[in-house]
Amino acid sequence: MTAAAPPFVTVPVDLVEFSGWLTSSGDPLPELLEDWDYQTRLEIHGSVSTDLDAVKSAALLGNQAKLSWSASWRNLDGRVGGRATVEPATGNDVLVFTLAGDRLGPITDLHLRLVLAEETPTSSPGSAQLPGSILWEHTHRLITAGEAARFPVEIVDFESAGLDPDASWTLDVDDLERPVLGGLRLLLNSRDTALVAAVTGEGDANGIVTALHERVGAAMLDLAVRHVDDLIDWNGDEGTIGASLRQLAERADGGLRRLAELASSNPAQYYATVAGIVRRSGLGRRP
Amino acid sequence: MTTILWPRLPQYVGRSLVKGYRSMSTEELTKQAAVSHSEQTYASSGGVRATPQQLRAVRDVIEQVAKSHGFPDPPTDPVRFDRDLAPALLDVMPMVDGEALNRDVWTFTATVLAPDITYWRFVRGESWNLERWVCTDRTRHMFARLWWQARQLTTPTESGRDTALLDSLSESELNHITERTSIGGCAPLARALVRRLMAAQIPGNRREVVRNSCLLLLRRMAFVDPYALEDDDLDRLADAAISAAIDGLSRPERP
Repeated sequence: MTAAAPPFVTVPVDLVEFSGWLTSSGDPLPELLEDWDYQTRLEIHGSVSTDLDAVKSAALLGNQAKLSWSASWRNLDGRVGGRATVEPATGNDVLVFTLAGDRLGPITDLHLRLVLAEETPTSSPGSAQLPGSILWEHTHRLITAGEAARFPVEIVDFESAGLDPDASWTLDVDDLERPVLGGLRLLLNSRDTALVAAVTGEGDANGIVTALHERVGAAMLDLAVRHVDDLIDWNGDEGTIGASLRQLAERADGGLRRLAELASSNPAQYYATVAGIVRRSGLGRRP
Repeated sequence: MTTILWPRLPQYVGRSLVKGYRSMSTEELTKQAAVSHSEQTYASSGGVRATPQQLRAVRDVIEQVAKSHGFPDPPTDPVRFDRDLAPALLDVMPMVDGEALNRDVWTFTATVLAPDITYWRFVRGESWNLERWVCTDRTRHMFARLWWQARQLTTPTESGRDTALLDSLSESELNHITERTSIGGCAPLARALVRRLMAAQIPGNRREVVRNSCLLLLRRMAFVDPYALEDDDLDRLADAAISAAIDGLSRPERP
């Protein structure tokens, strides 16, 4: 992912000490919220300490510049967000807020930002001037446990779904901008009872699941090759299907572009390369 | 307040339904409309599943607004239909964000609850756009886009809902704002931009000014946190983008 460089000097990461987000019990806020539902209300707090004079000096801001802490959330799926809290930065601050479960999507980024609180007319060239300018940032990803939190598997009657009734599985892929955990679905044909039993843990896996993982990984690489032009200059957020496909394909020698060339110039070598990438990624059988 | 869980239809089922709808007339599609489907699922979260009566109420509101715009005859003013349905849909279909962000909820709404109205609003001849039916992007889907437009740009009042911001925009202007989710996904910013567009004296090509204002704001959003700002600052940010867009239009093109 490429990000535009801000047109002003920001604050070195090590000038800010952040405790990380903590729950009401004092435990670190996990990435995966196991018992989350729409009624969950997360009481969150965290402490930040910084030498404000050093921060202003590093950011070429005058002493009179006012800074704030801004905590906000943004759902990755749909890009809908909101403010959690905004507090003046005084040097040693404790930020406290409640995050309502009904505002969260399957994957939500929780941003903490040190921002310029108001316009500072006397600031130096190269310094932030607009209110809200982001001088320092920390992001915590939240994944809500539930139906969309993981790469979901659905058992489907392929015939009635209009899919090939003799196939065992297919990947249902949404657009590349969607979060991988909610936008990719592995559909299993209910007619393939051995596969369904193996995947659901009700039968003997007997190598079936391993083989499935390997072929799903290969299918994802095929997808990356098919979207090579979109993915080479991928600008989407981390965690999207596009970003994950590109990350997987970049494990090939020469990266995604070379893999795509191989797919058309030498299919046999392409499939061998794909198998290698998939296995090195922890999927499938290791020789 | 009780959280209502709305039925969800997997995309592959939605796609399969739409395939079957291609040979049907509006009248035949009305007969297909239903409040349930054998493949529907619900969120595995706490909440109460929408009852058939609640789903019927949603269907009735959609149909009622469509009829006021000519349904089943071709829509007299499709954009006005959108503007009228958006706040009505938000009110009759109360949803938490997690539900409204779920694309399968919208696929169910378009392909099961109101396939005839989706067809009536969007299909012209052989031109079928699947994303109006099967939700892959909430800003492009038949019903998701309307629900979210109302959610982001209208406010409840004692007498109903203030839709002035939404009503002030043409279809193209609204698309520029809502489809750029860094703006449309941040309600205070989207509202500030529309508020200031309403107040601005825009000479010439308004659509181009809205487009360029959005692009300029997007560039700002790469390094400005809109959630840190109060309405006054957001208004100033929007004013600066609109002024720059107007100036850009009046500047002579380079030889």
